[in-house]
Amino acid sequence: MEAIEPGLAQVTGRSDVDLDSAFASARPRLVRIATSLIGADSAEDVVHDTYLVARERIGQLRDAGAIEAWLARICVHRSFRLRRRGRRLQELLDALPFPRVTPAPQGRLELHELVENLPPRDRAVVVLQHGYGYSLDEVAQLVGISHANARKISSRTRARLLRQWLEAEA
Amino acid sequence: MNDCRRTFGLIDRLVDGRVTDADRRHAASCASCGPVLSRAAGFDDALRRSARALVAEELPRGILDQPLAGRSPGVASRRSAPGSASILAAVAVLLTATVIALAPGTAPVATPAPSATIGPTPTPAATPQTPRFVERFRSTDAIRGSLVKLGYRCNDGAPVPSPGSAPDAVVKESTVCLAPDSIGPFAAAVIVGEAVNGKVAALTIKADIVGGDSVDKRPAVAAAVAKIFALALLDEGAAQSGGGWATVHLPELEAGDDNEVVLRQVDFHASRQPNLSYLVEVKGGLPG
Repeated sequence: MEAIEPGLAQVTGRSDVDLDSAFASARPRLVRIATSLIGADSAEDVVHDTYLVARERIGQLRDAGAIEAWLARICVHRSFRLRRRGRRLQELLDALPFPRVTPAPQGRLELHELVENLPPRDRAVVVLQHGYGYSLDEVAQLVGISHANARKISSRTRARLLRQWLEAEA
Repeated sequence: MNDCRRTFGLIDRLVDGRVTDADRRHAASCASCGPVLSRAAGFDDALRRSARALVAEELPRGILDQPLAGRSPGVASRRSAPGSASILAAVAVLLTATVIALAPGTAPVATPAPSATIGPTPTPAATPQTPRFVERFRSTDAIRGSLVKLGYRCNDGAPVPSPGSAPDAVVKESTVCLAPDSIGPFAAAVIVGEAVNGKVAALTIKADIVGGDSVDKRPAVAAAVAKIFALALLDEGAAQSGGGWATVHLPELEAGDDNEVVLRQVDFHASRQPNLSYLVEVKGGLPG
């Protein structure tokens, strides 16, 4: 928090320049948070999205002292929502006029690799729940879904991981 | 190397949480199933370790503070209503049964029941005092009348088994309306749910694209859903916002996706079932 104190004072004025300062200070942490949730490949994109959302909504920030948590929350939310863009990309790839070769699974994968290979949304829920230790209610709040949906995603993902993990053993 | 025919059946039962004593007795003496059973026992610990290993940065304290949340990052936090999951599940099951005729030859896929919660059982919010019912929908008669004008065919609904006890718990499907064929490249059904006080408390819409899913057909589904919002909700602002949400997000949904938002204290939730059916649920009987 100390690192962004100057930015906080400036952000009270709610100008774009002030947000820039606060965001620049928080950015390395945001990249690491996004990396934790959805992997390094998409982390920079998510943090960029975070900046765009923050810039658009800086007027909604009630407590300038909470800007780091506010930015982190946007970052978590954008990480969870990353999936759709991936789907669009997948659709575009599917539309290519030549066949794509999907690499075959390479041998037995460890559990952390299975988690890393999850779709961003599922991975974010797993990391928030099992890595950070948030309850499902808290996960639901962080990513902006109902408890029932968080439970559904968590349960479905756990079942998928368990099956893959056990089939690797079998 | 798997050399036991029972191993993959055992894995199925482990994943579903229905391992039997017979499985355990067999695994105790089976070189193939025994390690699988042992491995499963350590899964949750292994998952925690694996997920923890991915954490490169702690989240800042206060990230869950409500004043911070304030719907700031476009996050719609859904109010938890006692028993809402069971109510919606009951409605969904009845809905599935009702619309079988919409897709001849297509086996209906029941909405899967939520699996057991994993990890620590979430702490429920403090038990709320019984909230009062807030009327956010037009009456069943008014909704049905509007739908009939659009060509829908409506039947009387039926009581919902095992309704919850919340004021907005749906105790009765007050009407079930099927969209006319002319509506577009999809079949749709609307179920109106009434609470115990006879007021409409929920609306469920199911739609199936006819002739195979394609991106160009989806906006028509979204438009029909938006129209239903407009004729069913009392608050025009909520109806318009909900219609906008449906127009943007329904066409994006793929199998297994869902999206929800709370707009002007009305909960909108849309999901795409594994068989590609759209299921849209609207609730708003409790104070926001």
